[in-house]
Amino acid sequence: MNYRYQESGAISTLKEIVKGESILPRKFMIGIDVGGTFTDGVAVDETGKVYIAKSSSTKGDPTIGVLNTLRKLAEQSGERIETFVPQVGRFVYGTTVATNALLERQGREIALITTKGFKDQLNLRRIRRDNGYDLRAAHPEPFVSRHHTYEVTERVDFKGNVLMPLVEKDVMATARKIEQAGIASVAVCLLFSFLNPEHERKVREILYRELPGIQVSISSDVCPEIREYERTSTVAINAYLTQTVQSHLEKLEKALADLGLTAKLQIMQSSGGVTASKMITDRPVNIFLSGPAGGVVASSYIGALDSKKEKPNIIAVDMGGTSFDMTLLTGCEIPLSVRSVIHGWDIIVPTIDIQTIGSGGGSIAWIDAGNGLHVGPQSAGSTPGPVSYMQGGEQPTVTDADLVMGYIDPNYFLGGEMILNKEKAEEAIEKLADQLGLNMVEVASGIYSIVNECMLGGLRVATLQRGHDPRDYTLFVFGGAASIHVPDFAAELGIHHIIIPRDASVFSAEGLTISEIRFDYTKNISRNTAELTIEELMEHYQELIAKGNQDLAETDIPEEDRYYCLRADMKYPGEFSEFIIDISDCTHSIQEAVDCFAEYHKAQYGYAEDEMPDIVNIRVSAFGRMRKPKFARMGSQGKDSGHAWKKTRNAYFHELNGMIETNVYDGTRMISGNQVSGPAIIELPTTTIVIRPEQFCFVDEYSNFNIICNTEDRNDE
Amino acid sequence: MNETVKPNPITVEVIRNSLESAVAETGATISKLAHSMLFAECKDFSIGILTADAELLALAQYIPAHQGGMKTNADAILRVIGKENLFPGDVIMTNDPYLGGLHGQDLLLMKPLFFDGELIALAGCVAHRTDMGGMSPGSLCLGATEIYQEAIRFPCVKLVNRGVVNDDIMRIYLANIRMPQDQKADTTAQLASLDQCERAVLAVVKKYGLKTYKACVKEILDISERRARLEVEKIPDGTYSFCDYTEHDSVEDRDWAVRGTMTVSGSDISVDFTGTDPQALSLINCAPYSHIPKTWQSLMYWADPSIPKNQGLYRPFKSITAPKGTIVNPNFPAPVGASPTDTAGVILDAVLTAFTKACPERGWATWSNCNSTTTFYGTNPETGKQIIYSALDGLAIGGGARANADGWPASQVEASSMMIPSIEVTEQNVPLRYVKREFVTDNAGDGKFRGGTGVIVEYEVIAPMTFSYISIRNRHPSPGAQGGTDGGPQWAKLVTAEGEETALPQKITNVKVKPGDHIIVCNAGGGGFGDPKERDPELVRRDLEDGFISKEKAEKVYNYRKD
Repeated sequence: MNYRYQESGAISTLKEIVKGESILPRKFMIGIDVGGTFTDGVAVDETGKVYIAKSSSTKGDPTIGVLNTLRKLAEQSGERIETFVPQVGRFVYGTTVATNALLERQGREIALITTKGFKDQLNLRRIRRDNGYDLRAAHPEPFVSRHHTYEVTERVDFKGNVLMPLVEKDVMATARKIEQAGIASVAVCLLFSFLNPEHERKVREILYRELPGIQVSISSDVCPEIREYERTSTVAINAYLTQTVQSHLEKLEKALADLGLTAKLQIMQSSGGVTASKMITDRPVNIFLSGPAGGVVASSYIGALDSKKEKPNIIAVDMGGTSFDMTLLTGCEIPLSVRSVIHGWDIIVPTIDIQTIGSGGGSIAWIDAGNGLHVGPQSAGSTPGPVSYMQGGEQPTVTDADLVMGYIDPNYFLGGEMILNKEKAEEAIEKLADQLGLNMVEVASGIYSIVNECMLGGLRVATLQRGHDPRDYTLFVFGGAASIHVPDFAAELGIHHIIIPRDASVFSAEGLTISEIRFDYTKNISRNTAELTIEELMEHYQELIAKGNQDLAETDIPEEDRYYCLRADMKYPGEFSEFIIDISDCTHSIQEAVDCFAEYHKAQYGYAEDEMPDIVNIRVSAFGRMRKPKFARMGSQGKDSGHAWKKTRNAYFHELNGMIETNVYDGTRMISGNQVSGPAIIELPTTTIVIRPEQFCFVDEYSNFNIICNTEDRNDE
Repeated sequence: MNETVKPNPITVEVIRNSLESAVAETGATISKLAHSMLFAECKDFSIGILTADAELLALAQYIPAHQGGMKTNADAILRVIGKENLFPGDVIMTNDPYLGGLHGQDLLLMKPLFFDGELIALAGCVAHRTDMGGMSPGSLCLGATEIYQEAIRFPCVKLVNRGVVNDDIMRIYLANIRMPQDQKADTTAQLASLDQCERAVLAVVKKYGLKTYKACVKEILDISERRARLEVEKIPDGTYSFCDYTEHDSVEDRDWAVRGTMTVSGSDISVDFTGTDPQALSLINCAPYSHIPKTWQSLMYWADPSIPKNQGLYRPFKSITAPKGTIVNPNFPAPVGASPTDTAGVILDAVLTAFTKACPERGWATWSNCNSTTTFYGTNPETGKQIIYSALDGLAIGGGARANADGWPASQVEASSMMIPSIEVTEQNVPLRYVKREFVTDNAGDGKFRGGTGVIVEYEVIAPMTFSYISIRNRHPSPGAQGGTDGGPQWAKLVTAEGEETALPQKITNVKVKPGDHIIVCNAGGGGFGDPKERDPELVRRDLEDGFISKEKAEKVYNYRKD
């Protein structure tokens, strides 16, 4: 059995695997990514040819948008949806359904069951305030109300012994109250359940019996780790998401099956690995960051494609309709964390470290009482959407401003598939202009600058405030609107180099097609290594590996493509924090694992202690290798882009104080080596790139667009 | 680059943020390595970087009073030792409240940082240590009337001399404190954090060059000053009075007033504590330098929270006057062990009320900095090892109601980086069992916006131990503002295994408890803001449904009628 695996090295180790005999999709590999505004799709056929498609997200029922996009992919590849879907060998799905459900509080009210005396964990948050210096900040309202938090009499001690048996009639009484409240999903977190899950299981059993059809999430299943608040938060989020995610996935699977899909639906998880859809139905918390994960996986993969070069530092930024996501990949490594705070909520499942702010193409421009112009945080999303979509939106958005400024061609939006109404956008912005006493284009440019300033602020937090110099990073820019905006402010952070993947607007969907299967398991063993034999330790690991083996088998991963990473949360007795140590290569003896920890401690902190360390939790990540699409590479075909010139169009550049006759290029005709100097616009069917004055753009050998910004030098002497 | 040329604003931001993240990451290190729960789970420590002239430069989110105290400590180090006697590899150890510290339990290690032989910065790590000696475990020495009875004092001594640990100092130190082995590990963790901080700062200086670094440091402080002054200018000129109380000094059970005025003139502030009561006999006195950082902090909380925290933010304070011999500035050798959560906490609470008086529309009712502390000591039957455990559940204090929102449910202002302990982690390490930790009905101050609700905690004792309890805000709970009522009081009681109940005074020590005894501690509720009769009935209905208020209160105070 192969244990070798480096955390977040998934992508770099994949190159060797491409040749390997893994499960061969029949014909198409599909990635579909549902965002706030658009549902993006990528299909790769067996020759490596890539088809892309995009349609509006359908918020009420995301399945409709998925099918629309799928239909377009079928057409692109010269098929009808009925003949296309049965040829799909791999279908990977990324979705913001979980994130939206929590952020917008769309889910139905849930109940929480705790040990008696401890009902306020969620509200207390261990008293943490995210900005300790802001005494005027709003308190994040917990998503389980206090009157739907129920206590049961029971107690387990710190060794896992039962001090007070579960009083079953408490649970029955609670069941009645839950029934009366019409609640359909329940989270259970009892003290020390990570050591002894019996009471939680019993509660679940009683609820199942008393309330047929009820959903129950228990913390000893979802995240069996010490610390009651963090566990409660995770399991409550899980319960909150269960119904929304489950009903959505059921509907989607049925629709796909009706179209003849035989491949099993796979879902992107927050960890950047995918899993089978059926594994997610009781673990929706694992797909909390499913949506943006695909783009991060793709950035890591594409950034490291050129094996001759040192792996670059990347900031992956994704601007969609409703949000702007940022991830720092130092040396192309996907940053993973086992304890995260996402949108203010604590989650203890493996999650990519993605930071988000609420700025996007759909962000609404508005004027406050003091005549100040603002953009967002409200978003028009995809319905009603920007004014120019003519779907009932009346408030001007960032996309409307981009249109008015001449950046977007109203007749070439989604490659001409959707015609935007520029006049409507102008009217809407004119209204703001009248109030402000400015001219319309100035206001559009103001909207553009304000949203850019928000994104710039977000990037400052993501880099500078974490001690990273953005000047050491390359920006990977994707999502439909990003390449209109990001080039305008990258230079302010001193960023010199921007890469816009050719399929930027569907990049997250592309990432889905190159992702691996991943399952994560944790077990608390709380033992000192002095009294632990390697046989005992490996028995614990084997238990988790067996689960992984079974889950991988159920996901149709052949044995030779399964591999495991073994980690241990270790600490010296007396220390309170565990260090997560990869011991995949140190499993021959306990001493080997102990040395591995001592080495890590010494390397990180300058010393190791004399005592034998404790192992608190053990962790297994189980991976299934997947075949990756191949990306074609082309040598330089010359600098001249004359063949791709389309026309000129008036576009507003604040640097030049006005509307400028700007060259517009057909990006689909630009090939390796071609260059364009700013100001200029490059149009691709689903992406528009605005090159600012004093910048220039070239196409690299993987056909991606590269913008070089004119940055001031550092103050180095 | 010419000295007079303004540094590139991006570089200024990069350097400022690099220093702050060095400070933040250093904190992550120490909390991982430390052996005491105070560090590791509750994060009762702070890191800071100061300029070579002892001006606060980079602080990140820790405990602001610790960091302000670091400044007064650093002043003392430069005064006592002198810049010319600081060398690369030195680490100074100090905890003397009469040389700038907050109280003897807070041990500061400070490392001078050199670049090309030049002193460029001071890196500090101050931590509330489990024990620093003195007549009570945990060094909160109730009944003390002289500082000699409290923590052993290290008055700016070199613990490390040019990279070599001074074994004499270490032996004196370990000989005078309880649980020397764990404490040695904590000291090692503190030293490791300073080394890490040093590496990070020197990397920044190396990357950008010393000249650029210095120019940026000056600009970093100036930017904060400019922004702080803009905030002060928004406050109407005038003189605003304040008065609040501290209680029970462990010898005398009475009250002491912290009184004074804040005068705002343009972008300058002056604070004068004239009128404050004379010093107390025992440990509740404010450490003699502490009134300065505590007063600074009031502006830090009042001003725009996005202003970078450093010395520049405090420059609008033109003068801070504290008459000698008062409870805010006692004469030597008055004991000061309980200063941070007693009188020093009241200073911050009180000065902030003056800001709210000046600008009620941006203000809030009192959100107290005076948490109770319950400390247990004994032997862990599981390991046979000695334990000294400060249960920081007392930090879960109800927040003051704001001018336009209810108070934060339960948190502590000052201890912004600290957390209440994990119940499961505590039970694995201390012979205590939690019976409950939950909100208290009707504990919040009433108002148009109500205060946050304090938390009640009940512990069952598992093995024979001794405990102490110190608290204030019993007779003088967190005041309401603009017509809001005061929050609920802090109190504690002991219920023996036999069922005998005793209410505990605000200061008590050496209470022996046995298995089966219960200790119940209730934390302060936040003050209310505005007239309760103006409260939105829907909010009253929800509070009632959630059990934050009782039916009686809903009807009597809020005129609530269920339809």
